[in-house]
Amino acid sequence: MNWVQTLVDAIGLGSVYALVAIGLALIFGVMRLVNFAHGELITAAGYTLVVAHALPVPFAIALSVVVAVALAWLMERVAFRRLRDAQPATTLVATFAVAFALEAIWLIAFGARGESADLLSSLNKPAIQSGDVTIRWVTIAMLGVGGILLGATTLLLNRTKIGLQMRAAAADFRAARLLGVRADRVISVAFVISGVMAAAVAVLLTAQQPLVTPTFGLEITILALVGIVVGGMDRLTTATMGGFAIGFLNSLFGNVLPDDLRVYLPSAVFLVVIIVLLVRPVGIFAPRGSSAAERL
Amino acid sequence: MSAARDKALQLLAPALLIVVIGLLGTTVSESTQTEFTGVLVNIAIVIALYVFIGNSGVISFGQIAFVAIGAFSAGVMTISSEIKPTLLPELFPFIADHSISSFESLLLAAGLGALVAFVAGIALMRLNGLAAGIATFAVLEIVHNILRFWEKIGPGAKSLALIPETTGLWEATLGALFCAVIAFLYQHSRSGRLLRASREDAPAARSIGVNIHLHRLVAFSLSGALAGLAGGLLVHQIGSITTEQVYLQLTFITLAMLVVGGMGSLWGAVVGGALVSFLNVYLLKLEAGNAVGPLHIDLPNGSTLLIIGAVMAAIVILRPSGLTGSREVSPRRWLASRRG
Amino acid sequence: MPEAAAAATPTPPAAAPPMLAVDRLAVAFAGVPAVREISFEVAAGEMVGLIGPNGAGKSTTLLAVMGAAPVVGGEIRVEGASLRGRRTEDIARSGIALVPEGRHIFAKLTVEENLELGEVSRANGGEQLEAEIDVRELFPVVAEFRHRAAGALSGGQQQQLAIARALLARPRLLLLDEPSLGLAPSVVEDVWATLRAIRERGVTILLVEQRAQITVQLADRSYVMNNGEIRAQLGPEEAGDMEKITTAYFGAGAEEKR
Repeated sequence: MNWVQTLVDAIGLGSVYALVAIGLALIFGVMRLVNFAHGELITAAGYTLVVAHALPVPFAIALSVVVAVALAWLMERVAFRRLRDAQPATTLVATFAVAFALEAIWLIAFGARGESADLLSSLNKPAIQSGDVTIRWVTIAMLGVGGILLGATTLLLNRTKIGLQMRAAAADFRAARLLGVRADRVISVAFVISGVMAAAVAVLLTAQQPLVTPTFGLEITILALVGIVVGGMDRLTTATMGGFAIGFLNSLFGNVLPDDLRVYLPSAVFLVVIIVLLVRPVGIFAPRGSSAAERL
Repeated sequence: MSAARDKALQLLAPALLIVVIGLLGTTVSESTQTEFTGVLVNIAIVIALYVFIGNSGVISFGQIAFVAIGAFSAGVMTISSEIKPTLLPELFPFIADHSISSFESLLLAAGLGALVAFVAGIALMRLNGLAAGIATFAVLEIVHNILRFWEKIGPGAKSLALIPETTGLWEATLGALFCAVIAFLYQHSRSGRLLRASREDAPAARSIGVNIHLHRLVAFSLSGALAGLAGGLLVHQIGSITTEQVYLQLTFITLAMLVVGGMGSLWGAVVGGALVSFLNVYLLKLEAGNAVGPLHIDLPNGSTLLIIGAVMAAIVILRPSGLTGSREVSPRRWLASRRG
Repeated sequence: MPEAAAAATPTPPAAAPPMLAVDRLAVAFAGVPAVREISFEVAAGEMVGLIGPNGAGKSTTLLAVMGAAPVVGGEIRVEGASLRGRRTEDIARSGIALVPEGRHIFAKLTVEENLELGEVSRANGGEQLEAEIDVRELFPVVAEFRHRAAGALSGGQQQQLAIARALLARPRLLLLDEPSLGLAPSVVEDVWATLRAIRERGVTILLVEQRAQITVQLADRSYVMNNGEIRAQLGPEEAGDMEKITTAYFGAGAEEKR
């Protein structure tokens, strides 16, 4: 059992989950909306890669970004805009419904068995090999893309005008509007970024495993959601860390645990969620003394 | 005087609808009759959901976990103990050696549903809103995970089959009716009324000493019992069960039934259950290429989910109180609106 | 009835419209009335006070001007243009700023960032006040704590920050909701001095305050609100008349506490 290998793979997967977490947390921050349907953005991007597999790789990737962003924008405009003042639990039900409806569309369009998006499977080859340790290009891509997008998002939020407005809106939406921050713009930007993140996740996941099914994005979204709840939904940093942690642990335990224990991993994970919600609802990464706002 | 009559009507209307569906079921072909039975079992499930969600105002994604527990326990315990050890070799001896009647299995299912709900509820009833939604979803996931892999209590990932198919039209009607009566009795009980009051205004209720958590626990456990019972009815209708049949898709569709009908009333639960169930049945038929009356459209696979999902999303967004406005049947109000 | 007609305020000559004209404004939250058909005007350059007991509807009135309260009747006009139906952020961008009750500064953002947000509503030209108010001059705290988190400031400093932030939008109309709430008396004096300075630079001010006497004394005019209605109008000359103020607050026949 090669620890270095396991760790590297785990960090890679953690980065991917962190990207999902950012997408979810940004929208939650500005809208208090838990977008269960975020996974469908990932699936949409995945199927775009399937359909575009004959195109040169950069074009296919660009197309998947366009599709994911367009779908995100559409979701907001058509379905979620009216939910702005609704209770968070109501929004969870609504996004749940939208997720199922979209999943049905993939089912109708592409069938249940799944299609292959193998444009990037060349990335699955080893890049560095030293003794037992094999670091594949995919893992490097995960780390690289994860790092770059994380950095870009941080820059956007901390160094740009729109980023400042988003942070203000996340802190106190009404006060922000009273200062002239445009609600529509801030929310749209959040959805666009989440679309970009979704596309990146789809690209990285298909590079590792090219099969795209209707539930392609759902499982990772559910787990990432767990991660941001456990890490701390209120802040982007703690949410992202929570997402990373879940991905990291998922990979780690997936490789480390013996089979008969590994199957119960979901139970352990969800038990942790319940405990965190009961004992430390602000999240385990939140700084000491944080109060749980009325968010949850 | 008319208030009492109104109250009686609150039970009568949903009960009548259930009975009407049952009676209609006797007039149709045998295969259609199975579908009607399925609709009635769904109604039982939705009523179970309503008992908690409607009265407390807290959205739970986990009630299907109790349906699953009811279904699997009733299923496993009613398989003849002669064949059980062969079918499910890993079972605990006390499960493998005994088998019970279908009726007893319903009692077992209800009891286990109530027990697990109670235990989970002790922890969860403190939570509100989004946290409750996520935590109850976690319960669903945990139960699903355990049932899927723990072969000492059930079939694990395999399908559990050879279960006595004892839920016919009559049993399903009675079952749904029973659930409706219990739900009605609960919402008019002291606990139910206090819970509903706290749904409207939790701080006010707390300030007069209402122990919200306790009453939520009562509702949650009762909901678990009815859900377990419905699971027992379900498994005896189909004759087999897999973990995937009582997981996300059933959660989605029963929640859709409740939302579409109206989360806040028994009438809403039954109406939503009936409407969406029939819609589901007939859309699935069209998907399979069969004709439905005059309609002969061949719908692609998955259209059912799409249509129901879209309808559910539309109702949550545009008319969150559901088709019935989350209100019970009230002739007084209907008359007043005619006059006014 | 002729007497009632005579009691109505005479319409001003057809000159420039007042900075703020509120006409039979009614606000209700889910059917419960909070403001019942009030009417008043604020001329350009005036400082007008809205006083009254808690729950009188004063804050709601300010929020209604900003488009952040459910208006069910009446009109709100700023320099003749109606504000009804416009979005909060658009109203903010048209030269009207509100310093909300409790300040609502963004505690986790720096002082600098809070100020930057104040400039967001300066985006649209033309409707703002032309004269530049040197915020650094009026508010030393701004320069001193530029890079500190706003939450680290004291109550009085936060209040200054909130007002400074509102001023950066170059508003023609400044609304303040209880600016002296929770502040020590010496700090309150500073706040009032600041308000006078702002007013001297041509900003029209409408402020809601709990401290009746000082408001009546320093404002051009003060309206007393109670239970959603305007009960009385007081000028600075009546500031010493406690009886009149008390009567206006609590209605005729209220017992005076000596």
